[in-house]
Amino acid sequence: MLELRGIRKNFGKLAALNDVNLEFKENELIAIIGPNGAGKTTLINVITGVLKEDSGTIRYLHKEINVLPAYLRARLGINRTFQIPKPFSNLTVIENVRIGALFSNDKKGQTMEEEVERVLSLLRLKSLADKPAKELNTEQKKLVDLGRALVSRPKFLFMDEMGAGLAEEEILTLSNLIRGIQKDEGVSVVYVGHVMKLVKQLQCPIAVFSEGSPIFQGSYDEVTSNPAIIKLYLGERYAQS
Amino acid sequence: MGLWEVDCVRFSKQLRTSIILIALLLVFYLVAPYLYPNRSFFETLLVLTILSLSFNIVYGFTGYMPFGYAAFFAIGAYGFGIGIVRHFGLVSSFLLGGLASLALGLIFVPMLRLRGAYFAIANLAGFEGAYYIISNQSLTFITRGPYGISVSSVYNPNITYAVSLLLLVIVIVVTYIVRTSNFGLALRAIKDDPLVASISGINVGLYRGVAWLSSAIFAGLAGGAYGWYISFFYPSTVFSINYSLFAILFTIFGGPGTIIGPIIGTTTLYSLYQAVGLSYPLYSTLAFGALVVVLIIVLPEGLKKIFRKYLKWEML
Ligand SMILES: Nc1ncnc2c1ncn2[C@@H]1O[C@H](COP(=O)(O)OP(=O)(O)OP(=O)(O)O)[C@@H](O)[C@H]1O
Ligand SMILES: [Mg+2]
Repeated sequence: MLELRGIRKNFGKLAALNDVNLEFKENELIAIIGPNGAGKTTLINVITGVLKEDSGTIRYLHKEINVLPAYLRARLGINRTFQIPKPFSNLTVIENVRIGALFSNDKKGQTMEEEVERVLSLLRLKSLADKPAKELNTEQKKLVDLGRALVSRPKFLFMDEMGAGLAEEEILTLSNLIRGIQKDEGVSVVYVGHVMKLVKQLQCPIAVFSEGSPIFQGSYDEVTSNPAIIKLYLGERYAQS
Repeated sequence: MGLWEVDCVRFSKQLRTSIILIALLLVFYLVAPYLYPNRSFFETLLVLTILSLSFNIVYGFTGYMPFGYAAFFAIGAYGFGIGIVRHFGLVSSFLLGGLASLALGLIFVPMLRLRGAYFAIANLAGFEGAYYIISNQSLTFITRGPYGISVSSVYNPNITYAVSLLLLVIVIVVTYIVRTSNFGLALRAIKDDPLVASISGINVGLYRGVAWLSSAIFAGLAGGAYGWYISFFYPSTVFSINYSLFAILFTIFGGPGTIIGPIIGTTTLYSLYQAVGLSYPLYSTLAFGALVVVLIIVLPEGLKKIFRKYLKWEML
């Protein structure tokens, strides 16, 4: 279990995370949604060690991991993708994935190279293996980013908004991929985003973020029928009608 | 596969190229002095090639640009010289040179927190600081201060040449390992995006530090070999910013991050530098400077790009 207690993060006067208490269990799929600026990416940044929280604790495996640098958290099995995909641009696709495998959380089982091959075929990246990442389009970059994270066999994988700008059928493919990964890889996936179509397809519990803290947790239907959340997303007038 | 393991299957072609390269260099350095009997030229060329390859380990693989790099070279010469003066013996003195620049590298490690121009300038300041300490009158009993150091008691240009050649082979092998191992892959990832590298489990500071220190050691050993060869030197002889400029220009011209680039870069540009110097002794530095400016404008990424574009060959 990954446990956040009283996490606060301010940017100047702005409370990007405002006393966040959350628990993420092993082997589950959950989605976090919330309007722009709700603090979703900041939450991932704080959990993965990209940003230091102002106060609060993050516990994992009976340790307070918020005192650890990012690379040690990664080695404990906490990994992520980026909202704007960040593959290593001068490395090829296969090299990007290899980097993820260097400090695999799970040393047993397949050799590193087999694992890299497996992830490349899972994400249908094999034909691009020797292409430098900077030559890829955004969708391909997202997959490389995901491959780098996935090959490390994380216990918790935070995915920051991969669905933006996708067409209907692409959303279906992506949601199937995410569900498949969660089931087959023995990982907890926390999907962060605000493309509701995708979140619906994930068919998983949803936490709603607003102004730096979770305000509601429930199923897709519960979330979409809650007037307060509709108001949050669409404004006062829509909620009344 | 571990961090330092070199994957001989994936890199079989590169391994072959490297072996051929080493063989060619050995033949060149053993035969060429008979065709062009100028011992000092070849010894200096050897030392500068080692220096460029050492510099390349930092600049080519981590992207840091140490303008004060010559400090490692100089402190290596001094480590060697002090060892000889104190009768430590040849081998120990030579190692003392490497150790001295390792120590200086460690002192400079905090600079790695700075980036870009800030790092370059901090490193230059470090160079000046080291120069000031070594040349200081009050340390004459250790460093001979401004009066210079003589190692003429161990003067033996043939052995110096052989040792330099051995050192060249070692630094090529080390560069090969960095270039093809997972350690080198991690360094390239760090160079691209240190944040994502750390998210991938890489200890960014440690890896940069290892590259930095191994680079420092080789620069120091190169300095030791040079001091040994020239036999007597003042602080200003080895603490010359020219050695930084040489290493930077030769590496960038040849192709940073490769093995062959710094070697070709040093060989062509230093030969050119000598040729210009012989024909126009008065204007040699000016002419060379102008040449370098032209080269950098015409060939910003060095020969690496030319090789890729026209020969369709990714330089090793
Ligand atoms: N590094 C930073 N410096 C200053 N302010 C920041 C920084 N990162 C985020 N913020 C601010 O913190 C708030 C939360 O940002 P965050 O990126 O976490 O939102 P988000 O929920 O991910 O939004 P989106 O859905 O648009 O991705 C925003 O107001 C943002 O402008
Ligand atoms: Mg965001």
